[in-house]
Amino acid sequence: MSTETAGTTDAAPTTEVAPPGADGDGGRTGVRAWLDRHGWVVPTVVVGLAVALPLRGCSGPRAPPWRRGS
Amino acid sequence: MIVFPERLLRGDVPNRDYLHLYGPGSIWTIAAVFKAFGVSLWTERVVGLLQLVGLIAATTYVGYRWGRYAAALCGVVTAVIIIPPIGATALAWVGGVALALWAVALAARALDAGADRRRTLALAGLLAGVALLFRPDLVLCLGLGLGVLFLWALDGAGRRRLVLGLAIGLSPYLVHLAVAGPGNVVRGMFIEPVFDLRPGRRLPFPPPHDEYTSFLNRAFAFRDFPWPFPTPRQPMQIAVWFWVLVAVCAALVAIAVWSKRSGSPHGWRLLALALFATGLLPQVVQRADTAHLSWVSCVPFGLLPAFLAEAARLRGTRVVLRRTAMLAPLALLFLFPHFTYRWYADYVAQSVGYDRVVYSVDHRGRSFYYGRQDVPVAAEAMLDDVEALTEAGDRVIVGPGDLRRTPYSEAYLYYLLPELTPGTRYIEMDPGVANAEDSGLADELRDADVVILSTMYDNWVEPNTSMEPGSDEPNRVLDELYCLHDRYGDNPAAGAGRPIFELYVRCGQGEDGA
Repeated sequence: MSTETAGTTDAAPTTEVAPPGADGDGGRTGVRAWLDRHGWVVPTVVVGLAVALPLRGCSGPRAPPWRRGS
Repeated sequence: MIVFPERLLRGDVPNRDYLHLYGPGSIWTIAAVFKAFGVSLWTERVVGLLQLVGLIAATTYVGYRWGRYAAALCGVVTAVIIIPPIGATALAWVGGVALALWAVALAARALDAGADRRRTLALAGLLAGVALLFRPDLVLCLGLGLGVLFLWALDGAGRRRLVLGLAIGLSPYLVHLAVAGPGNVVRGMFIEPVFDLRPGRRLPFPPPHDEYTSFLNRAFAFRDFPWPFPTPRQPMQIAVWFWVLVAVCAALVAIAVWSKRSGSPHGWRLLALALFATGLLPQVVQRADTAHLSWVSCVPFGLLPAFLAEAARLRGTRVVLRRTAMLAPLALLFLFPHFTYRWYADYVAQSVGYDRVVYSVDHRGRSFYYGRQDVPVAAEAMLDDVEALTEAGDRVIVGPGDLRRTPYSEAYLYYLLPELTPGTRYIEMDPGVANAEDSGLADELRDADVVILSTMYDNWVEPNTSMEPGSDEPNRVLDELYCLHDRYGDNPAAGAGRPIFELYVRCGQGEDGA
C-alpha cells in the first residue's frame, strides 16, 4: 500500500481513535478534571491494589503440596 | 531461583557446573541483585515482585490505548491469574514473558503516528533479545508477534533497527557460550529440556475432565478455602480452563484480523499481540496443569478487555454495552474459580491474617517457608546434624528417597547450607535427566561427603515417565560408601515408617547415629 520512510510501510493515521487515557468524557472540573488530565492515575491505583492485596499472603510457602500435608 | 544465582556468585556457571534448563538471563539478574543487596529469600522475592509488576504493567499499558477502564481491567485480570500460582517467586518465565510482551507492545507502538520509531523499535528488539536470555523457548511467540510486524508492517529501516536491538539483547549469549562452553550450552538449554526431560513432564493432551494428572494439582486439593458458589470438580475446572484459553486465543486472532481488515490504526498492534499470545499455547499443550495454564493465560486473558474494546468500537457499540462486554474475562474466570478468584481471595485473606499457615525452616540466619509444621522441625534437626558432621567446603548432595526416581528435589536445602558446596550438577533434579544412565550422579556421590534424601516427593504420580526407575548405580554407591546417620520426621504418604529426611555420611564418619 503506502510507502514511507520512518520505519513503517503501513502508515498509521495521524489521529488516534482512542487517545491514551481518554474515555470519552470531557468538560469536567476539579479532581475529575485532574484525573482526566492524568489518565494513568486511576488504572495505576486500581491495578496496584490488585497486586498489593494478596502480596503478604502469598509471601509464605509457594507451592501447594505443603499447605496441609499429604 | 535462590540457589542458582548464589552458585554463580561463587564461580559456578549454569549449564557447565549445574543443570539449568533455561537461559542464563534470570540467574544473572538475580545474582546481580544478590551481589548488591545480599543473598536472601527476600531479595529474590523483590526481583520476583518486580517481574510481576513488569508483566502486569505490560498488559495495563496495552489496555491504556483504549482508555483507563480497559487499562485497569487488563491489569486486574492479569493480576488475578498470575499472582496466585507465582506470588513473588522470581521465576524466569515471568521475567521473560514480561520482557517479551513489552517488546511486542513497543514494536507496535512504533507504528503509531508521532512515535520515535527508530528508538522504539531498537528498544523493542533489545527487550526481545533479553527475554530470550531468560527463556529461549519464547522464540515461538516472539517470532510470531514480532515476525508479523517485521515481514509486513516495517520498512527496511525499521527492520534494521529491530534486528539491531535484538542482536544487542542476544549478545550476552556469546559470553555465556564462551564461559560455559558450546557443548554444555546446547546440552543444557536444548537437548536436556527438549528431549531428555519431556517424557517425564508431559501430561495428557487434552487434559481429562475427570481425574488429576498433575501431582501438584492433586496436592492443591488439600487446601480448603470457603467459596460460596457451586463449582465443578477441580479436574473439570482444569479441562474447562484449557478449552476456554484456546477459545480466547482464537477470539484474539479473529478480532485482530477484523481490526486489520477494517483499517483500524490498532490493526497491526492487535495482530502482533494476538499472535504473541497464541504462540504461548504450546506451553499448556505439553503440560496442562494449573501452573502452566496460569503462566500462559495471564497474557491472552489480560489482553482480552482491550481486544473487546476494539471490537465494540468497530461495531459502534454504546459505551455502557462496551464496558459490560469488556468484563467478559472477569466472568470467564468464574468457570474455574478455584485457581483464580478463590486462590486469589485465599491470599488476600491470609494477607490480613485469616487462616494464615506459615512455618519456616531456619538455619544459619536463613529461612525458607513451608506450610507443614513437621517438615521444618525435621529439617532443622537434620541441618544441625549436618553442621556438626561437616566442615566448610564439604560436598553435599540432596536427592529423593530413591535415587532411581528423580521427579523433583528439595533444592532449598542447599540455600540453607551456604557453608557447604553442592556435590552434584543436579541441584534441580528432573526425571530422565538426573536419573539417566550417563548422568554422572553416581560419580558425584563417590566424591561427596554427605547425602540428604527427602521422601517428600516419593509418592509422586503422573501419567508420564517421571516415576519410571532410572539408573540404580547411585543407590548402589550410596549403599557401598555411605552409612545412615539418622532419620528425621515421619512421612506416611511416602510409605509406612518412612521418615521425611535421611542423612547419610561417609562410613566411619558419625554413622549409625539413629
